[in-house]
Amino acid sequence: MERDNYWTRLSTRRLGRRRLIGGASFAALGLAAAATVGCGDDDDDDTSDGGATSTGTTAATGTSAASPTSQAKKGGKLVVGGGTMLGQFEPNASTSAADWALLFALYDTLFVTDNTGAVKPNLATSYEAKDGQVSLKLRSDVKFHDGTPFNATAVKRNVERTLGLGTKSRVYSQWSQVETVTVPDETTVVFKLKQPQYGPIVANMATIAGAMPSPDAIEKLGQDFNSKPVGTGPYKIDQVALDSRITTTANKEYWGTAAGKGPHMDGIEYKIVATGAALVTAMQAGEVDIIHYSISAPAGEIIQLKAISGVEVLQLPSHSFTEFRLNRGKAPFDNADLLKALGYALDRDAILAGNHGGFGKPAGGPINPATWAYNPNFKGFNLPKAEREAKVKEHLQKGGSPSGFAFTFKLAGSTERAETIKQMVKPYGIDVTIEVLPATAGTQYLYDGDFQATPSFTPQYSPDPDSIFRPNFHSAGQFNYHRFKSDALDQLIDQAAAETDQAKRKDLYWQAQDMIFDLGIPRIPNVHVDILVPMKTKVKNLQVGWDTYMRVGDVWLDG
Amino acid sequence: MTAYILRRVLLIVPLLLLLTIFAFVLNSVVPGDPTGAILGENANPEAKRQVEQELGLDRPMVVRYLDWLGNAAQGDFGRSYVNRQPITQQLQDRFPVTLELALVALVVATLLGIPLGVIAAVRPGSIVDRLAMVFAVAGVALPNFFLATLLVLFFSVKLHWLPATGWIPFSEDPVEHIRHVILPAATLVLTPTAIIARMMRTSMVGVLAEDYVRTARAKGLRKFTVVVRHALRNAMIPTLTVLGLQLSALLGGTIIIESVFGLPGLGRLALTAVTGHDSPTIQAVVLLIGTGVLTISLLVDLLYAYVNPRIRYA
Amino acid sequence: MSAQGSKAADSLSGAGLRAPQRRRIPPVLGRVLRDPTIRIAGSVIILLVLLAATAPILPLDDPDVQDLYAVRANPSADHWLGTDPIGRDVFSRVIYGARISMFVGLVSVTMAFIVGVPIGLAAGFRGGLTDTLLMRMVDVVIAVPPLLLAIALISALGAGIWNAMFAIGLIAAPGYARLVRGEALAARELDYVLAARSLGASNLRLMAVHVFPATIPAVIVQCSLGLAFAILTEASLSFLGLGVQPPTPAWGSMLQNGFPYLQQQMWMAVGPGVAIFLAVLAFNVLGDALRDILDPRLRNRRANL
Repeated sequence: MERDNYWTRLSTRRLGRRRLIGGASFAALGLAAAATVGCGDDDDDDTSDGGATSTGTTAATGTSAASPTSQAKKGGKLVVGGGTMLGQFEPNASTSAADWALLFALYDTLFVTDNTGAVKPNLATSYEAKDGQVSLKLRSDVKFHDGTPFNATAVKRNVERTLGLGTKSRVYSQWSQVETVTVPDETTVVFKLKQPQYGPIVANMATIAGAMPSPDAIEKLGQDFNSKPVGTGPYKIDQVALDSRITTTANKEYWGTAAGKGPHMDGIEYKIVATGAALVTAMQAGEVDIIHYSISAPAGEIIQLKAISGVEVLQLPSHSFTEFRLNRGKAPFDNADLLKALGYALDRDAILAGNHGGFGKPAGGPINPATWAYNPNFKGFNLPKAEREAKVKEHLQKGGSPSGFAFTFKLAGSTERAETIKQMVKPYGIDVTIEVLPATAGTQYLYDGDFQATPSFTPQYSPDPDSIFRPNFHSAGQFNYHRFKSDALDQLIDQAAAETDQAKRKDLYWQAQDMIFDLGIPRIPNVHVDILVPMKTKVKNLQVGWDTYMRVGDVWLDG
Repeated sequence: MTAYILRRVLLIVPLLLLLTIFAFVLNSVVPGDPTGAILGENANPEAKRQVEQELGLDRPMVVRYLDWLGNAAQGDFGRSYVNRQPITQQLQDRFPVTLELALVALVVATLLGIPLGVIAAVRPGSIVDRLAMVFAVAGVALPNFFLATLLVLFFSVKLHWLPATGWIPFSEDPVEHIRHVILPAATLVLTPTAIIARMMRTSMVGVLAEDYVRTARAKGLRKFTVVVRHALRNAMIPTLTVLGLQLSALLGGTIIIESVFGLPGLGRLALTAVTGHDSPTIQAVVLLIGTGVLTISLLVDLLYAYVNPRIRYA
Repeated sequence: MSAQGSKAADSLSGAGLRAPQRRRIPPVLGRVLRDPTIRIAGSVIILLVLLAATAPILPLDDPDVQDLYAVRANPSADHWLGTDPIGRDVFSRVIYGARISMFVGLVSVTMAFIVGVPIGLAAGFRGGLTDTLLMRMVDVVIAVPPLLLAIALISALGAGIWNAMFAIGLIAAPGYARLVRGEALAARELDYVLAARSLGASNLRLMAVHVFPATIPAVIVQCSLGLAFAILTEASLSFLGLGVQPPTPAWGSMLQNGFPYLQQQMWMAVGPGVAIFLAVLAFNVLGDALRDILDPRLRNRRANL
């Protein structure tokens, strides 16, 4: 993510956040059990939600000092530092990932996921997908914080409420492929789907869309529910003081406790500082135990934080990449050769070192190394310097502009990376102008095709490669505003999504990657940025979702 | 005198009315779609239209203004676009934080600034005077966010004496509350101290040159007595205006300090609201602080008239 | 206290036209130039202006050029203040930052002048209803704290250098209006103004030719203080990310970017911090010293910004 201002970025971030799309449109894998893809949003930030692996078997690795829970010490209070929370503590209303570190402690999701994206049972103990329906078996021993029972009717009410809110709900798109909800009995809920795409919707139930608030409390409290959230999670809301702190207390009747899950601590305090310098000093002064970055942390801050004794930085592979988006419908990037010349002109090691403190990997193509579909032999744009330079010359020549060309980066927010690129490509005769839009500009200009290039960030919505290709490169893709269209590629994407054999799918995605690279990929990958979570060493058993958001429900404190 | 007071008090009515218009208009020109705060940037037009209707944004501006004014007069500022919480509640939570910071800073600045100014005035040209004036000039020039970070670095990060961020309500833990107030207040104190000291010095020098002071000294009164008993009162008059101005400046000047120290005050509320296009919240904050400042200047004027009768006829 | 003094058109010494205490003083300009405080503050300002003006031809690194393999470097012969998180030369950026600060200061003061002075003149000269209406509006604008107002304005206009200058100018304007109104109120009763009026001079002419010059000394002082205010406010706005946008070097945003590094690479923040301090200090001191000379009557007044 670009570095921009600490205090304003919370808003620009939020504005651009979570452009949700119909999960239904993504893919149906058809794998028997938990073959899923997630869905989520796209945009210039790091948001991502939903997701699962294609096998559903991988064990959690995104865990700090993973220790058997039998060792878990009881008591204590965890202080989570973070940026401005917006106080939208209801899943349908939540627009800011800053709030999610809290939401994932207050609410249980139907399924859970970890850093690998594996989908595991939670409120739902199992599911069955067939005949255009997904039916869930639910736990029968769960109560909401207000004492009302969690059951199939509650799920039905929640989902129907979301469907009724339509696009006014921020999780609507994750549920939009549900046609009807039926409740055969109190532990079974059946979703009839508009199309038989089972994978995505199950994965979505492990995201914030699958969080279950108390429908009775929502009815009773109305808009006040936002500040008095009621879920089934390991921690209950205590006090809400926005821009100051939000406290929770342990849910003594938590259903998971019997199974050795949390809550292990007396409570969690979310200390709302601001992102940036203030957060760093708060950790230096020992005032927070862990930092929840809702956007990826600036490398410089991480370096400062690492230097603090008793603080470690959890570093996890990323499921996303920084890039810049090009308009293929407009000169100069309607010319694939000029596009490639630009792609090869980048020194990705320098970008990684300078803009990301080395936390990540250079990205030559769109498929990231954390995904099973990664092709280690595919180098893409990421060649050694001499080869790259030869390629730049070659493509400039082929593109009919041997002495270079000019284009404009249009963007809102920080221009640092654009500036880096500008200098980097200048020696090749590629002239970059940077046009800064007001922070209020939003992203409409992208949809309007009123741009040549813009630096941005592609989150992967799920570890399934379909979520890289379909929304961004398929001609019907939600975020394919690059004016890029290839029938052959569309076909390949659909074929890969319909295929159930993983080896075959892998091969198809490799082909798709080669093909789009050949055609002139409208998002030029820069770097796969790592997920970084600074925390005190005493914090144990932290789960960080592959979506970068932390789940603190099972955390315990060692000392 | 009564006539003056009456006139001055009545003036606040049109001023407040103007202020409401100003706050409303200022905010209505803020582009950026208010529905964006609720729906996110790329919501579909239909949903946007629905939300606009729910918020009553499809009505003419004058109607919206009058509606808002009517509710605001009853202390109801509506709900935040962003988190749907009642704004009045937010103001009640935030205002005490900002007010406390501003008042603590002003009291400390007065207690420091007045003696500093007086001492400097008593011996003009002395080392004390020169140092005091260097401080007075430098204190205004040092950006308070710069000072804030230096203080945090030294007292929180290096020495671990005081907390770097956060706010603990007094009712919860008085000692912790005070510990959390010290650094932000100390940051805020600098500028008003410098200004008050300067003002005090200038007016004191003027007063000390007056005939009655010379007379008092000639009668054999001790310098200390003359300064404290006779000169101080008169020299305080211009300083009073400065105090009022400084309180207003502090009420608004906490925006950055609240951000640096992570304090839940009005300034931070405003900043968050501005960046989130939360129009009703911005309106409420501007109106509240503006009203506060107008009230302060009213009080200062009245006080001024009381201590300095000449003003009433000016 | 008696002498009205020469009404000769000593245009520089507007103060002389109505200064109550008349002494045999040398021409004001001479006094200004000989004043030690003014000399010191003036030198600092001239230095800043020179650096700002000549930055492109000085042997400095390009402030925007990143050396991604030398980020957060410590001060050295190559980089006097080290480099920032993306390997730009901090010293060079501080110098170029002076360009921005001076530019912002100049434009916003001009803007405040253009908006504020006519309002003040009209209010003070016309008096009556015009005065009441204009001044009540000024009261209301002044009642909203400047930074809050600036932030609200910029949120309306969008962040950026031009909008920041516009906002700063606009929030400073009421101060000029109030000041000029007071001066004009006094000036319109002066003999020569009354005389000119009796000779049939139009109102506009009276305001522009006779009343306005009388306000010049106070306005000069206000401008100097206003520059300090503008520089400080721009730094605050940039600190909050609402002012000058990166990569353009501005002291406020450099300071803000340098904060996380204060412990290890303190120069990144201290450099621009000291620059802001010096510039604001110099303009404040200059303003104060000018006030002492140009208009002793004003000594007790402090710009309310």
